[in-house]
Amino acid sequence: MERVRLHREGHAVPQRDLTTHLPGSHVKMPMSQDRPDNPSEQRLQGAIFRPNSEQEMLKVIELAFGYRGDVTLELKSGESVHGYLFNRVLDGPRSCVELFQPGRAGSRRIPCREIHAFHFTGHDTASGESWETWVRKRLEENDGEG
Amino acid sequence: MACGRRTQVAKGAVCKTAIQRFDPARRLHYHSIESNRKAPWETMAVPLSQMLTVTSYVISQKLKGVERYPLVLMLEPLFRCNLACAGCGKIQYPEHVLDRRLTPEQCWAAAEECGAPIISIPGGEPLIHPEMPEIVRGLVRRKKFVYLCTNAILLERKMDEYEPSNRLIFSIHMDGLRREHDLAVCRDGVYDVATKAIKSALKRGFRVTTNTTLFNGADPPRVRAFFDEMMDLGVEGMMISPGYSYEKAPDQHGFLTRRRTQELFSGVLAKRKRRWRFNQSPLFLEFLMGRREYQCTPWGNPTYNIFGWQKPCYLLQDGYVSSFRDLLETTAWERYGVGRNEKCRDCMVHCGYEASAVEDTFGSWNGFACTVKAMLFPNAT
Repeated sequence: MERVRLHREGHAVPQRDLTTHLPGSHVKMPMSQDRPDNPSEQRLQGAIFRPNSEQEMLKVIELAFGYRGDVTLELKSGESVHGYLFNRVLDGPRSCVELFQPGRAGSRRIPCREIHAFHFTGHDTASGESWETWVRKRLEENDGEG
Repeated sequence: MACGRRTQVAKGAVCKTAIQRFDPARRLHYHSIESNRKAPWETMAVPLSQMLTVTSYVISQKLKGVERYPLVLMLEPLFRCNLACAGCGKIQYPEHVLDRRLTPEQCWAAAEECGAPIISIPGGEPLIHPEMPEIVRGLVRRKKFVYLCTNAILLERKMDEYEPSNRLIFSIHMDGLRREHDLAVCRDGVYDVATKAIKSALKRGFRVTTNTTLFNGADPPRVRAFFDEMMDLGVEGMMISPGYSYEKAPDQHGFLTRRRTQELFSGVLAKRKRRWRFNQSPLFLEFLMGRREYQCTPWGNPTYNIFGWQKPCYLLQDGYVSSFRDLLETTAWERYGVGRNEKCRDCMVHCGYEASAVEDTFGSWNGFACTVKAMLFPNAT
């Protein structure tokens, strides 16, 4: 299977090749697979992707679609669109993504061909941190009782 | 105490008040109580009127030759919740998404377009939605049976905003006895709040059921004791299902494999007590026990929420379309189900397989006979 090389930027580790390790994780980006693995394992928060081909674009769209935080799309027009990407319609040249933007009613559709870069700017709400905190608290309480 | 509140009502004056409040279909259900006789439907977890509605709906779909028809619309008017349960992958969204809600008009339009006779309203916590009483009233007016799925934290406070009806059922989230439930919902004290709310709702004449999700590590004797406790409370029936392995759920270790699900439910449902009433298809319970094999019927429980109609089912998010028709026509159904999709491998959840069981019941005389047998003799193998 053809491996797709995709460049990723981030605050901590700029310009990484996604076929190698992601920051703070031992998980390899499965860009050569048909279906992306669980994006929540990949610590996407803070990442920036600038897809260079249609194939790369599709891969990044899938990551953004599975991401439970806001993204900021850098459009080729220079406009920056911030919101939650909740849908994608993959239909060749008519492909687009759909976002909910804070403070705006309704959704906004953006053709994929107009997107220059994806910034995973929002907090990943599926990171499990609140639950881990609760488990830790519970364990501490149990220790206290024991 | 063994027969619960239903028997107490049967002999008390409250019963007549209840009859006056309910519609004629409900009166049929209560007729036997009033006359102090036990009719067969008196031991059923679903009132006869509801059963007849669903039966006639399914038969009409079959007569029309409809290949894919919905049974239960999963209507998610909001994702905000007042709990953050370990096994739930539904509520992890940015704040501005959690602030979004479906309007009553959107909910009613979805119900009308879909046509399913039953509407299940999960979420999020639906009682947070300020227009939920209006949404429910509108759905009841449209002759839908509405299961309002709630963790019951707000139920006592909000109950007066709803009117008892044989078409409105409070489906209370209860994942086990006190210890197990509070652990599952990640907050102490919720079990006690919920049981108190159940008692209040029953006292005010509401239909009340429970919905229970079982995860890895569930202890069959404790689950059976939980069933006893719920029946003692007087709930109309119970719904049980294995948890689905949400990618986004905080606890990724509690989900069951298919084999483990069958072992667990065999342990839980073996030598079933007559007094346990399950508000679901008896063949689905046999499926959970590994006695039957079904393929998923994802269109049986279509999902509509703030994003649109969800492809392909309540649990997987593979995209959204703006109409139910688009959902039926553009979803690649053949890509989903056990043996077809890795994400469906261990799923035995009610929203995929309860409709399969109902289809089995009405698909052949043999299926119908098996259903009757499973209802009358649940412990026959």
